[in-house]
Amino acid sequence: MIQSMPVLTETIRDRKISIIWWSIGLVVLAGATAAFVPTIRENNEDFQSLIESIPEGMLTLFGIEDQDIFSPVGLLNSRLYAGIGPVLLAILGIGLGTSAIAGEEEGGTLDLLLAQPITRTNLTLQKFGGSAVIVVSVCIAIAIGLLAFNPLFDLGLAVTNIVAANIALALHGLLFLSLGLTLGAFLGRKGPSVGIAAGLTGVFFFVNGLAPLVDSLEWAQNLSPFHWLQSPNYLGTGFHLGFLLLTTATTAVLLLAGIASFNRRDIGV
Amino acid sequence: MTAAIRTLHLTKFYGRHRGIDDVDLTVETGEVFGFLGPNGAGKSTTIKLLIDILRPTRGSASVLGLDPRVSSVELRRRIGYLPGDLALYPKMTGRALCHYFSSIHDVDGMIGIKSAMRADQLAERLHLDLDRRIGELSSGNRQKVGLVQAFMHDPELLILDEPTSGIDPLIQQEFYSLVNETRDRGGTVFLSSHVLPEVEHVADRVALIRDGKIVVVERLSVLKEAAVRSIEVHFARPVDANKFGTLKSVVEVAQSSDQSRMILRVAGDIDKVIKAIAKHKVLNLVSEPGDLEDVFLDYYRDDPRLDEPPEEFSKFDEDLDDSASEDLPVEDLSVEDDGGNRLAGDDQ
Repeated sequence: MIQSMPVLTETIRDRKISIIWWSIGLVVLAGATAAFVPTIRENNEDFQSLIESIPEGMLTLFGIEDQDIFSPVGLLNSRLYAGIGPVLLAILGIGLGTSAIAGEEEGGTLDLLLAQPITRTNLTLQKFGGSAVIVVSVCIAIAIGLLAFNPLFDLGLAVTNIVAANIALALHGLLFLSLGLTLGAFLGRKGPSVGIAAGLTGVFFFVNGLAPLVDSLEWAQNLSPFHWLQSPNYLGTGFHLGFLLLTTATTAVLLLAGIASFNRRDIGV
Repeated sequence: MTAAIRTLHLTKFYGRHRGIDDVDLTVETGEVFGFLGPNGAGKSTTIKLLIDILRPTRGSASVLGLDPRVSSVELRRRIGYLPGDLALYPKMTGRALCHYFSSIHDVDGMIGIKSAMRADQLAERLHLDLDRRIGELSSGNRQKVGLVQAFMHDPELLILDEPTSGIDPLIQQEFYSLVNETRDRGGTVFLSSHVLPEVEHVADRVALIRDGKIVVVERLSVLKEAAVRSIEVHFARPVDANKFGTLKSVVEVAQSSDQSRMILRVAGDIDKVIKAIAKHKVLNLVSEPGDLEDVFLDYYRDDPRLDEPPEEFSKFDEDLDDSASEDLPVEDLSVEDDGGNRLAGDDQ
């Protein structure tokens, strides 16, 4: 099956080193966060009073919402699934997505690749598939890491919830992957695609953090993929199908739009 | 038999810029077809339209009897393509690249094995090491990787954009053998170039494209016969240029002021010119084959349908003067008007 998808396998092969580094990086981040849990637990009262002194706006911005940040769940959730984690996954997704088509087009290799017997749709799907495997692999590494840290630091996390949170994190990464891929498929240039995708990511991130502080903008938070990942609190409460579907559907719509525009245009102009 | 390539009013605009305009071409199955034109004339644009990398503004193309827009996969299975601005994956080896592309060609693996063997043969003939990373190769060797991947499936139709650029002359001969072998087994080769010598060894017919328009399609033998060559002669004593200017095949005569050196531009029969030169004592003689623009020029000169020279013509005349003055110091030259007038389409 996988042999019949040479572009998919080549996409993975080309990135195998970076899969390893991304996985190590994120597992270390998870481990470092988890390692704080015992310390914080011992000094819980000090931290609690510290957090009460921080303005609510700051807390929202850092992804701390109605959650006890110094519980294991609260801490890990705010770091890995609301703060830096989703941003890193967005960066990974955008990098992979913009390389997939725009990167090849700018490098001049798309010409020859498309002269092989493969439709543009098939090429795009295989590129997406290969990149998706990379994103998912990184999230699997994080999940495995957390499963190991769970008893080690006495985190007390439910296994289902770890799985749920990382599925959600992977889908979040895939959304940004398809955003980058679609922009690249439409524009054919990597630089502008990365620029626009990064700008949008910034907007999504801050809308998620800031919109709740302004009554008239509160609705806007619902448009941010960061909100879709953070608000269900997967690590604390497990699967939340609605948000998972919303993320997946957005990814699919973006991807279809990318395929449609890629099929319609000239290459390398 | 269906033509290998047939285009009808094929037109491509990039925004308001003209790429190619109303290109009608027919390449028969089994022929080697040279597609000539200066850089930027629209050669690559035409080629990319044939393989559905670009989409036409107007007109249509049919390749191996198929519409590139509709049957792109089936079509690409049957063609080998070498892009003009060749870019390859620098991290891959040549072998990995060939394997990658043949795995797209063939999901079962059988063609893959055949292609891998063929790629090895080709690499050997072209003196290419397939196990080195492409990024470490010289541009000539990268071009060879491009050739190997184009030929390795033994495609029915080869579309090669500037195939021999950067490749040394000995290897070029090997390339011409590959082209001839393709023709011998019934394949078709469409190759573009900005210089005539690159295709004149192998092409049966050539098309000349300029400013996005096809200027002429002709058998190569006909064009070569008519091609203008330039002969530079250094005589021992001053010689009267008029003796040469009146010869039928002499297009233009330029002479140094001491009348001992002369540049003759000759179209067609060279025999009478050589015999006229031989009447004098000659110190040195250099003959240069006609370049592409001369072929254009000469074609017009002999074309009775053209009463008025096309617009580009004034440009050619300037080029002519330029090239003459490159050969000899300007102050030494007195260019005879004779040739210029005839070039401009006057009756002879």
